[in-house]
Amino acid sequence: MEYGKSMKEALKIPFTKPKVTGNEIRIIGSKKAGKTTYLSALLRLPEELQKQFPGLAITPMANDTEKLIEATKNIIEKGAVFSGTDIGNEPDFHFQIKIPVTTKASSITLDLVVKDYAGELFEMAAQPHNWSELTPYFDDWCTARSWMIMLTDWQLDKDSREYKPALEKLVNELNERANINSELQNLRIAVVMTKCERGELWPCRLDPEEDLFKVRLPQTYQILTSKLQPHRLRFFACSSFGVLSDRPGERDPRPNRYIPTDGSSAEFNAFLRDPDAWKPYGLISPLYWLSTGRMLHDEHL
Amino acid sequence: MSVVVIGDRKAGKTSMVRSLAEYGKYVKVDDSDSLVKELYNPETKFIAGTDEVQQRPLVMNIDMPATGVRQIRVLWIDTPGEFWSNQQQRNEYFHAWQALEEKVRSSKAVILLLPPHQTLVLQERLNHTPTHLKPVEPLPTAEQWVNRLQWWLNFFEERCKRVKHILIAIHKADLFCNVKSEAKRWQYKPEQGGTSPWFEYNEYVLDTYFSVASKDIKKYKASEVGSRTNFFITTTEDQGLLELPWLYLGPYIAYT
Repeated sequence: MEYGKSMKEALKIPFTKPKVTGNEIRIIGSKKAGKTTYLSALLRLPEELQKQFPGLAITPMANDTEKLIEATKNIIEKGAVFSGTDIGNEPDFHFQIKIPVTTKASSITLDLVVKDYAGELFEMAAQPHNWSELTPYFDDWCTARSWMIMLTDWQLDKDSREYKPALEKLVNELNERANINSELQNLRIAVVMTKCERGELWPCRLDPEEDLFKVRLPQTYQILTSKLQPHRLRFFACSSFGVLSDRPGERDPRPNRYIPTDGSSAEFNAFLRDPDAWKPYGLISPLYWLSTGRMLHDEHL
Repeated sequence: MSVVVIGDRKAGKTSMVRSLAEYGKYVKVDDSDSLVKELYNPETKFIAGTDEVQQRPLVMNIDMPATGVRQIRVLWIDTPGEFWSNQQQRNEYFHAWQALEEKVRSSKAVILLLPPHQTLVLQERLNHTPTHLKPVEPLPTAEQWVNRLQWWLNFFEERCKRVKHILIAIHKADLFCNVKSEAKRWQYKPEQGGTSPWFEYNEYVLDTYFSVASKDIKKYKASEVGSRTNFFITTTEDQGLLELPWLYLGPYIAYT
């Protein structure tokens, strides 16, 4: 009797198919911007993030993805760093991110195929004589619906000598091709400042467009905003390592990374200091926007 | 992935792999019996010097810190020591030298074995060392050692830009430290999640055993190649220390 009643009740509930949105994303960015580290932190989904967002889940869908998760456990969490991605050997990562229901949005699953490229390719875009070498890669980038551009430096010479010329070239080429292939007119570009656990960037993470890009990379910002329609462009901040604690009452805003004292460059050679406190910041929101066109109103993701 | 072992004459390049093949605990080499037979005479325990580039695919089983044992294919390349230490030999056999250099430059990882310098080695310890472990040639003075290390660091900076991992080890640690106590502190402990964080080990080894060259190393570490370089101490007399470079490389080899 009870069983029958509950079945009847259950049948009254309208069946809603979980929403799945697919997307193919190309990750492009300067050398040592932390592209592979970003992906590894995302796929590993550290426990601190899982605790804070119950129901958030990442499911690997291909072998490369599982291999990266395994490598993260064996490399990053053991006090070492990833070595750079080789040109011509770019791995493809296929995975699903299940984002639980929030007060502002219903639950959604993102089905993503993400390709991670060597930083040298982005640098090539800034050098006109290297364009022919870059063309096959650019052709490939134009088969995707989204680009994620990852940048990490803010020195003025980086802004003027590398980021601006590289992005100007890429966006000009993209716009030219969009004249022939109208689908490219909808290609979205998320521009992400990485390694925001750095003290000088951490406070700026909440409004990255105003406080990071406009101020620190003015030429890059100007060229992107002048050449792309606003609905195709968003600025984000992320941190694969995060800070030691951002819990109320025990805030410790020091970066959760250990910088060696042996002379290594601090920016390019840092290690996760406390794997148990590992809580990355801003990893999912660029992917969410690239896939849905909507902003995820939880900046921690 | 190819891993090249380099070092001057009699640095212990072949004996490192022989010892792993024979006694490996967490780093095991498949078909190790035949490799051991090829590499040395078990009666005298002496290893013949390598007189040409030896290349052989090895299947290694490496116990990964976080995920357990993984089988990995490594192309192990052992190089003759003479080429590295003797300029005249490099000139005389120029093409062979070039081919060797190319092998090193295009490999994914390079393990450089250095001998200890005289200041590091305690005479007392040397007196009690079994004959087959005693240095065949006089050990370099601290100054000679630093100069030689500088030569290697220049070589890496200039010629090894594509190599992903450079591991520099002072081999024959049994001549200059208590290998058991060092191993106890740093060796791989799967039940405790692996080794200490790699950066901790690296810093300790640099401060304790590479201090005579600290200025040169600091400068080198600031370069891009330098940031991919890690430092070790190794000995065939303790597997705990000998396996560390391979346990460090393991996850990278498995991933690529």
